[in-house]
Amino acid sequence: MSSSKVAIVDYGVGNLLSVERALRSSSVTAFVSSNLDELEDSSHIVLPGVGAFGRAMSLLRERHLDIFLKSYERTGRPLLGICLGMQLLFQTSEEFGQWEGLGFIDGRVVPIDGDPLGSGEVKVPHVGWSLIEPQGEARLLRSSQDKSANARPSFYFVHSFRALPSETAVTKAICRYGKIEIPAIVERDNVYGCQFHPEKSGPLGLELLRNFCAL
Amino acid sequence: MMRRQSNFRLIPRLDIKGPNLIKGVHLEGLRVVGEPSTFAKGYYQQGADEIIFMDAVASLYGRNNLSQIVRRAVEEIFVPITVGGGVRSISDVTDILRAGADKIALNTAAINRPTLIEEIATQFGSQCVVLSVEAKQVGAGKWEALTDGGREKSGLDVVEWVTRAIDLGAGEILLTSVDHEGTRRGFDLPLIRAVSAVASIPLIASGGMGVPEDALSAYEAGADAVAMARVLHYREHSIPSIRRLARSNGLLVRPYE
Repeated sequence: MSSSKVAIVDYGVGNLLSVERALRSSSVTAFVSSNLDELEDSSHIVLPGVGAFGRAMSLLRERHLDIFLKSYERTGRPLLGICLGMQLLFQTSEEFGQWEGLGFIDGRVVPIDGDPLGSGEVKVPHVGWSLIEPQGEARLLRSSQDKSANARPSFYFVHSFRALPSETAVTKAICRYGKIEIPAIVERDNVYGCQFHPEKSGPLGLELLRNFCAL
Repeated sequence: MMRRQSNFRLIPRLDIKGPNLIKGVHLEGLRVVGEPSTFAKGYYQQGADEIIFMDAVASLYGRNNLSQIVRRAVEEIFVPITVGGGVRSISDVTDILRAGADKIALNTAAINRPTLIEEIATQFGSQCVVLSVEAKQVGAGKWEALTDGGREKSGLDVVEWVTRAIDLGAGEILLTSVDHEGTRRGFDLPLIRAVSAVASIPLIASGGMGVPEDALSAYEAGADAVAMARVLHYREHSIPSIRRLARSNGLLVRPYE
């Protein structure tokens, strides 16, 4: 991990500094950039994101970051999408229209459609600390899975849409919200995503980021 | 006991004056307690689910000194941070979010110009707009929203104001009882019931927490979270002890040891 050099993609949205600070607090070399040469000179890439899917994709395209990320992904280096950044890894989104994503993982992004007012108990956006349930072996969760007290760790979520992967095997953890199962962690080869914010999820979130940097 | 989908949150609230953490009674008679980032870091390490920083006198002088405090705090705090007090414009919001905050609490500026809520929600998302309400009882089952740190009357009925603010895009409500604030006699439960009846968004109860059991009462009255100040600042009770009590009474709280 000491040799890791983590690039955080700056495309004009999101709280990038929180991710950078969280990585640095674990003594990881991390930097924020939108410069293609600087980003290329990294061992890992983090794609953060807050806001709307369509706008995020246009901002990535304007900066040629979509093409860059596709070629980066083919080199096999680890790539982590956080929150909206995770949703961007999929093929399409239905957030206020129909949008094309980066397409690293088969599937689409749909609204959290769970009876928002009917029962009065499922509020959208889904905001707050929620338990996640690991499904099989999640590389991002390695040590938290070992400790029995943390077998069902909580993370901080803020989102109104959720991913719907075509293959269930890519989902490595879910979060139950009302009757809906929200994919909380996805993984496909060198591509990783988490719907929650590890940089805002306390010590367990920092541990997840360290796990990513050690890949 | 009814169950909700997200964890019930335990949130330390730090009221700030200049460089100091302060605490008063009924939002008045402010005393210096200590250095804000030291307290904030301690609460993070104890397992706070979020942290609220409020500039207690910013509205009076129309300026904001919180960016600096937030910038220091977020170097070592990795849970969501809400900042309020003297937030007046989109550019104030931009500054505070850049400093590392996740949510903005609005009171006086939103009452003076309600569409500010809509403007911030459109640009940054509803999840980052917390409506801060300072409620003073004015009759049976009636509360008025105060501004400027509980000093000025607005003439607005709290329940009506909250309903309107939700329509404009507020994502969360921080509901402070001015009557109970700093008294340690428990939350204003009728107030929480009245507001939660119209709130389709998360509600943080604030003002009056004296013993851990008060958090259970707030939950039963409809709160999704409690904000705590004096009870933590003076170490009368700790976040872990409140969490243990909540959990042993069947509340869904974040596991944390």
